[in-house]
Amino acid sequence: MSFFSQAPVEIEIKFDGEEARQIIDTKDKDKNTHHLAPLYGADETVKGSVIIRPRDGRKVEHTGIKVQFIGAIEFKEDKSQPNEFISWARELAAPGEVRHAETYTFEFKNVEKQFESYNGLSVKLRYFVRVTMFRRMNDIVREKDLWVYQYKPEPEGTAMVRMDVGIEDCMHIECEYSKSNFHLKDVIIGRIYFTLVRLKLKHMELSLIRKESVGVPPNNTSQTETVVRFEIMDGAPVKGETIPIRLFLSGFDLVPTMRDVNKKFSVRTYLSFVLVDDAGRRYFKQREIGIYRSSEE
Amino acid sequence: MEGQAALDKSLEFIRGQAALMRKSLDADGRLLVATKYASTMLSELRTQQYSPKQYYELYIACFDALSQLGSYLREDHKNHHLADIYEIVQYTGHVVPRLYLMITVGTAYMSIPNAPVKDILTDLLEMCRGVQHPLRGLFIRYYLGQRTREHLPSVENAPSGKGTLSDSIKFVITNFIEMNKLWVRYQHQGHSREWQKRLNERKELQIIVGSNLVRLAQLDGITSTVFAERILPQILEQVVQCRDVLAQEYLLDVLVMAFPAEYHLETLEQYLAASERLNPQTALYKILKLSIDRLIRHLKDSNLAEQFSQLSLMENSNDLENAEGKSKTQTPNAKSTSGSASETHESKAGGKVEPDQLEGPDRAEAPDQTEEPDQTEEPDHTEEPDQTEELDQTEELDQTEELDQTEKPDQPAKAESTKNSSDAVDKLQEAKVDDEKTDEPNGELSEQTLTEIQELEKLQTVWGSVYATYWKFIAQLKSRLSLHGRANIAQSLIKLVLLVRPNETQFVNDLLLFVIGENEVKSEQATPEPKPKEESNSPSFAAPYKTEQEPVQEAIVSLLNTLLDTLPVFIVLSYPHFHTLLKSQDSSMQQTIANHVLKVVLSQGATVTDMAAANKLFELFGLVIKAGDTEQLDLAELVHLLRGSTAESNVQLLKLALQSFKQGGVKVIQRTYPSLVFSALTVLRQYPDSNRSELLKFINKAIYDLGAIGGLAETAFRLYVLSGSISDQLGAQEASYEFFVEAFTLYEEQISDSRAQYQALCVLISYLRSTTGFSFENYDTLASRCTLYGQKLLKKPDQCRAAYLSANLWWVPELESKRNDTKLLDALQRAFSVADAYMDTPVSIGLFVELLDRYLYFYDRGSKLVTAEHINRLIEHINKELENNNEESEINEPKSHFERTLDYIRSQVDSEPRFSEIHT
Repeated sequence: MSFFSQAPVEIEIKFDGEEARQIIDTKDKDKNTHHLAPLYGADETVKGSVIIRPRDGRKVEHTGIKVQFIGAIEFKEDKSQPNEFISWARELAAPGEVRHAETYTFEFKNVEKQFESYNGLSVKLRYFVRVTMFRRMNDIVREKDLWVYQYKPEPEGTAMVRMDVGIEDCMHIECEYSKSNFHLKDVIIGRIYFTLVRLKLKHMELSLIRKESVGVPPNNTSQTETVVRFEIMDGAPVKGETIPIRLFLSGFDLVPTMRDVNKKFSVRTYLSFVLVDDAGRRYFKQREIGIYRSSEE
Repeated sequence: MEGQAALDKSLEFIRGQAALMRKSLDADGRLLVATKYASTMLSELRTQQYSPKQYYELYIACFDALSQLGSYLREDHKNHHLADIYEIVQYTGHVVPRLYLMITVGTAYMSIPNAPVKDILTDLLEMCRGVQHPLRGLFIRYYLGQRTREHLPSVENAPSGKGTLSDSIKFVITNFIEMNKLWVRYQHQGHSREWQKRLNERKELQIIVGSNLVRLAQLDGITSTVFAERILPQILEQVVQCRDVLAQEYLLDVLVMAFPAEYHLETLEQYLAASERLNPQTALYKILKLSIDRLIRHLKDSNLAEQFSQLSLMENSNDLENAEGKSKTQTPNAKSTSGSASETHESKAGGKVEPDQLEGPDRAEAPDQTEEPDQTEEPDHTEEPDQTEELDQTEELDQTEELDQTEKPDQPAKAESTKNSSDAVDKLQEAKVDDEKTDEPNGELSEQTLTEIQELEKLQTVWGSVYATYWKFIAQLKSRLSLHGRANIAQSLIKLVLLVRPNETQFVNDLLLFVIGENEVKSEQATPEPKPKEESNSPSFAAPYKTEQEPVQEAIVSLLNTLLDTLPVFIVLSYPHFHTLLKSQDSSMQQTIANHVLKVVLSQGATVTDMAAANKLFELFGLVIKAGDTEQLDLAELVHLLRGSTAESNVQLLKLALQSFKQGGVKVIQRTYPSLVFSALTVLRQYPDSNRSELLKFINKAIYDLGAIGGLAETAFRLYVLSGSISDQLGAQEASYEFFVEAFTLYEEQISDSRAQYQALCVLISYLRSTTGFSFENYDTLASRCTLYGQKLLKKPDQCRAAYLSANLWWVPELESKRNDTKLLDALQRAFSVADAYMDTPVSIGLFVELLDRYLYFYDRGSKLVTAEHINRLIEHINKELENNNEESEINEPKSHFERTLDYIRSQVDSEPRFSEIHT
């Protein structure tokens, strides 16, 4: 869907007030390409204009021009069946011909965008506007993405989390952190008590791991990705030591927790405590933490 | 070295990153880029491979770079809010670089007005827990301490978040505790075979742990109360809890050194209570010695010691005042008890200074009721009677001696100390004079001075109680102290006590007893012979934690030497336990000490005046004398310090010395007996009216032994002659005769070498000639003997000379009774005939010329039978001989002698007409 296709017309989609909007920059992990998309709220009206310019001043015939607002979940593995959970369409022009550059406006009023945009390893959740000029031979299609955030209130019951982790007679620690749900710019604060240390530890890390699962059990597949690796302790503690945990989240590329989005996929984040011993062996304990996008950001 | 190469590489890397960091800062102020470089640089500090010293090099390199970052942050804080930067650096993935950056930013933030100082401190302290590796953790926390040092709040009250002094104290102490834990943990990581290596590495690191305590002491606003309540308990608790020997010894050392002595003085109980709870392997004595030595240093540095010694001086002058009504002998007693510091002062300047002091306004006009209590409080009047008696004698003679021997080599040192103390007294008096000059009425003035004195006394009481506290403590913990430890503590405590109360020498004996320990005392009594290694049977040595051989002997020697150096030697010798302790040492050690005592006695010039002291002294020296490896000359010098107050006591002293020296065998006898004889002769002169016979017998015996045992016949001979001569001068003719007879006997029996015989004879003749008291018969006997001996000499020239010398015996110009012209002429003529018979002409001519001189002498003095004719004949004879032997070169000397004599005769003609009868 290149800008510079050899199509006889050039279609440009413009959102109203695009310049004033926050632009979200995402990256495809595998291709290392960037996507820029203006940010929209969950219920915001998507309004804009379409400019169609014929190339070289030739007239172009068409059998109609349509604009669509689409929310879709796309899978890398299986591109054949995009799952469109939203699709709205407007007719921009009846069949005819375009001689000069023409501008059409469109508006999708208060369109409900129930999910947050996502660009993951194997799955994407996209919102975009598509303009199609129908022709006899091959249609000319032009798409433009927008990005959607879902702001959530702080989930209830976010009490202090404690967990005991240990290898019998070898290692015993108690981890403790302030809550189980964090917003994206939150700080994980906690501490670790070493109640038994018989391993020769070298250091300890915290990791944040994102797990993306696609499909419905049992036919699901999942991929994980370590988003953050953060050393919290250097050297070997002795029994009775306490190590502080403080991890600022805002600097990292985290996404809110997504559970069974349209029954197609989930994205979860796990907090992992990793102990590394002298011989390089890693002992870890993972625990899911909830991440949400707070409107207070 | 591989390690060095790696280190260089690391340093290069650090410098490279630091340069990049600076460039980012300087060029365009890209702070975030700069912190990235800093972080990369700091990741080098995560290394495992380096020793503490090498790691320190890395640390310093980073420290410098971070200083630049820190100052940039401070200057630029308006552009970048430091709270934000503080958050940003926390994204650093590794904990060590993250913390260095946090500290750098955090402390820069603290320097900005209105920064939440307390919160930053708390946060940094908390986050530093993330580094649990001992070496890296220590350095991180050291960095924390260094960076925060200048920003620690020191106010008592502040709005929340700003921080107070309490927060600072808490901060430093917490950091200290954590560092200490890491430091101790350092020991316990890795292989046990590298234990010692790690111990050494820990010693290299100790200073960065101790720096916290120094920092604490440098905080503004620390008072003794703060120290006692908020600092000391926590530090002591940590030191006790860590149970690490190195940490306990080192940290207490730093603690004691870092804080002012006054604080320690007030918190002594706390300190002692804590030291009781230390690891049993920690050398308790070191811990105690630390604090005692600290107090001693304080006393010396703050002039308190000087003031105390002045105070005791004044007390003594109080004594003086009070004792005026009492017997006169009390006064020197009081003076001498003032002990070491004032001893030298007293002995010389004391006599002059004290009367002045008595005249001082405070003394003269001070209300009685304030002085009286002072008197009763003073405990030093309860001394053993024999000791004080001994002391006052010492004192008296000391003074007289100093007057006599103003040219002694040790005078300068003494004079200096005297100068110092008299300076001090002078100052005191000046101060008084100044006071007097002010227009205030006199009564008020003296009160003022009095309050000063009272305050000083109060202070002295405080310090006195310090001693009591230590004493109580060590008495309780005796079983935990080895002999070595006890000796060390005692040494320090003795110094302390004598600085605080120079008078209270009684404590010293207690301390010596403490060092010996009851067990030793008991076994000493049961088995008097010294045991070679008594450590083994004393329970205190059986302690399992005694790991290394302690230099027990060194400690004891050092203790005893301290005693000798600080106290007058006879006070030291009067302590019974000094001797007990000494006897517990092996004989070579005892000799060393005894030698030292000897030196001290000599250098102090302390005279020995009574038998008790002398007994102790010689008992002590017995060993040295027996071993015979001392400087016998020192012993000889010692003899001259024996000075009794009566002839009787002198004899006793000398006898004692003789007995002792006799043990020493030939060498000692040879060196010391002459001194004894001379000393006895001095006494003989000094007390002309006393019963001499004992002295004379003593002299006789000493000389006899010198000849008989010592084998020094010639010396003995001379001493006999000398004694004879002196006895003669003192009018003891019989004794004198005996001495000469003894001398003759010795001459006959022992002196066989012809040269020696001739010389002995010369001595004999000259002394005999000068005697005055002999009866005619006795003199005749002795003189005839001399003449006879002269004739029996082996060589002719000796015979000749002996003959003309003995002529002197027969004709003494000053003495009518000794003028026998016939015998004179006989002698001269015999001399002539001997010379004439001698084959070697040049020698014979020489003898003639000598003889001519004698003739002239007697002629000049008016002998009736020596006439000008004798002389003319002799001259003629000489002239003839000279002509006959003109060609021989050997006659040049007698010839010129002869010509000088002739010149003399010619020159005398004018003044003495009789000389004109002589033909030259």
